[in-house]
Amino acid sequence: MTSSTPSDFSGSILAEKLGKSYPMRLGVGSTQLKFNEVVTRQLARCFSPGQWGQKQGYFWALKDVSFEIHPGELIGLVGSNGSGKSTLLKVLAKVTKPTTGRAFLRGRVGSLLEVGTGFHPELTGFENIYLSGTILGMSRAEIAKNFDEIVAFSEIGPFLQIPIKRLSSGMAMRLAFSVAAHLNPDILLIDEALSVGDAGFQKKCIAKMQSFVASGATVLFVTHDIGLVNKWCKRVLLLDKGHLVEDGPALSVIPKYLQAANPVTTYRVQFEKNPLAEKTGLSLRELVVNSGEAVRHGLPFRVDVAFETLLPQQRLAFSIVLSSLDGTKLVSCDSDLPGEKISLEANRNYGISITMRRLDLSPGSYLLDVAFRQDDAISLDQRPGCVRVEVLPPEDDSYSPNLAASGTRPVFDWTLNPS
Amino acid sequence: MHEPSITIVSPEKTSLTQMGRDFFRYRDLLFLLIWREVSVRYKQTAVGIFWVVLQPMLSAIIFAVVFGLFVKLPSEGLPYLVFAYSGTIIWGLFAQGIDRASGSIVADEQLIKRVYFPRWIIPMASVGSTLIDFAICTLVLVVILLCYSIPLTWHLVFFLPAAILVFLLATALGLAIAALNAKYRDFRLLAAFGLQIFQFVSPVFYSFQNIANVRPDLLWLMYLNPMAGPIELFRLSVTGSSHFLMTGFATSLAVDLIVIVLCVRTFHTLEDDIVDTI
Repeated sequence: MTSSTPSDFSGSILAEKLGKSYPMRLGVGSTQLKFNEVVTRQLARCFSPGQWGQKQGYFWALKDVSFEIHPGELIGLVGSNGSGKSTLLKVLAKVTKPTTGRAFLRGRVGSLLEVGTGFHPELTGFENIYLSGTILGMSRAEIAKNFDEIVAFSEIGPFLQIPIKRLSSGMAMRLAFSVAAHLNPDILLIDEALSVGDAGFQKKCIAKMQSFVASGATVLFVTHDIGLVNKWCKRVLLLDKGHLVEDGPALSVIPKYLQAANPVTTYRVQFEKNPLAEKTGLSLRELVVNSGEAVRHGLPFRVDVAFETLLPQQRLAFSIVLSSLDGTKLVSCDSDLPGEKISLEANRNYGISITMRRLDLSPGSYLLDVAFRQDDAISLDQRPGCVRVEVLPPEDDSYSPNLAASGTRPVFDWTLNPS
Repeated sequence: MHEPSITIVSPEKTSLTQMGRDFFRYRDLLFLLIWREVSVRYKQTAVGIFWVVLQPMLSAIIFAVVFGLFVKLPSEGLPYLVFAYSGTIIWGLFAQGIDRASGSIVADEQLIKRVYFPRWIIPMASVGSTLIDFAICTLVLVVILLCYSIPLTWHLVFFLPAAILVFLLATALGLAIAALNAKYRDFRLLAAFGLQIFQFVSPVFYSFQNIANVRPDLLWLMYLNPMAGPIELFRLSVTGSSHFLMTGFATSLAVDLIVIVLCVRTFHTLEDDIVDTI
């Protein structure tokens, strides 16, 4: 089979029945088998004739995914954890080969599957700009041309000659993003990279992305942030268990995503282990909403979380966010807002609780995000939209539902002065 | 503006001709990764780049004292220090190249899981970085030759083919071991052990003259060692000596070619699976 480009391909990305399978025993998280385990397993096979010829199972991370994207589109890729979003980006970025199907990408492809790709901690910011830029696909001349702009964008100018291991993680990340933002590709693939960085910097990055799109480039980005998708993407792809189940305007796809992804209202959630726990050293275990009591407008709202540490933790912060079902963030509490950071020992179980003294949200349905992060940027474990919270009106009839025009209703005073 | 190129994503393997084209396309990245390896290696060291010369020099001195002074082995007419040092630096190009390459893909796991570039670049950059060490050591060798007032002959032209051959051999073995090591980390340990063993059967610190004197009938066996030929060719460029055995070199060269082809094919077979099995 030769892969000649189909003659009717005029778009930016064309995917034809893309599929990616992994042998079951490797799985996605790849639990590596030791050499002796393979040998003993093969031997065991020889001596148990019942298993002869039995093929090992395959896990399809991606199955029959087809779509076409046109130049100038900004497309959001959504789906629950393990739905194949990241695998799709990796296949399109040529990081891993598809098992079946083909895809065609017109022009230069830039992939940003993680912020800081190619950074080396021992090298200076100056050196890392060249290293990371080249790895991401820029030529030396291009980097030299854009160098001043990259430095200006990152806002770390004075620290350029310092090994980046001595910079704060936030600064290193800003620099990394700046390099990537100056790739100027025809197609940009982004995997949740926007979820890092402070709000101001995020805004800058979105503006940059939009200017790409305006100039005719195509952006395909994975995110859990429905608010972002709603605001910026005209078209959304929804993946579920490796299949492309929805492809259409954000307004029609997002409700389906929320329907599929949203948990039913519950007061207690047992979390699956954080897949990145080995790296981040922290995994949430359990969450209890409002000590199991009904959540009511005007009353305190409490969240208890149990978690374990695998590594020692420093400068830790815990936060909860309540969002509307379309993903707009409404209220949040951060444990580090009083300026206190948490430090913890490794390999222990902890519990943390946060109480809003008074819940001002109007009665209705909301999604609860809980997250642990380090400093301002690095997410250690985040569970966006893990619980659907039903806010009820207060038990005394002090709340008049007819007037619930806005999302929140704070405690307020008013005065009438005769003039 | 030229018509933008089209990237094709498919399950097919990258052809060997494409690998050749990639070599040209990704040369910037290759040189940058070599530079990264070199500049990171000696960061936060006190004597920095002197380590490059210190290592082979110290081992050459030790062997010169033991074999040259105490045991009094023949050394093809060279002062034993020159003999041992020349052997050490060409062996170092081979052994360090393989040693750095064998763990290279695993060390850059985060990189290859997140961005595409031809995978051979990483081990090749590791081997490439040893060329710089080798060049520095060679300059020191020239200084030593001048100090001993050893005349430089036309045989010096053999320096280049010997170095290229060793570089290719180390690159091929480095590629194969790095790819195998991505799946089973045993291979790196195996390589380190294998290199140690192979140094003893290679004419690094002693001359095959010794074997020719004792068991001439077994000499051919020694030349099945892929490094035997290149080391002797390298030393020929220094000594211009008549001890160079053409048939031995030819045997070794044939083994080299077989090893290179097998290793490149091994890498090519494993290349696509690296990212999924690492």
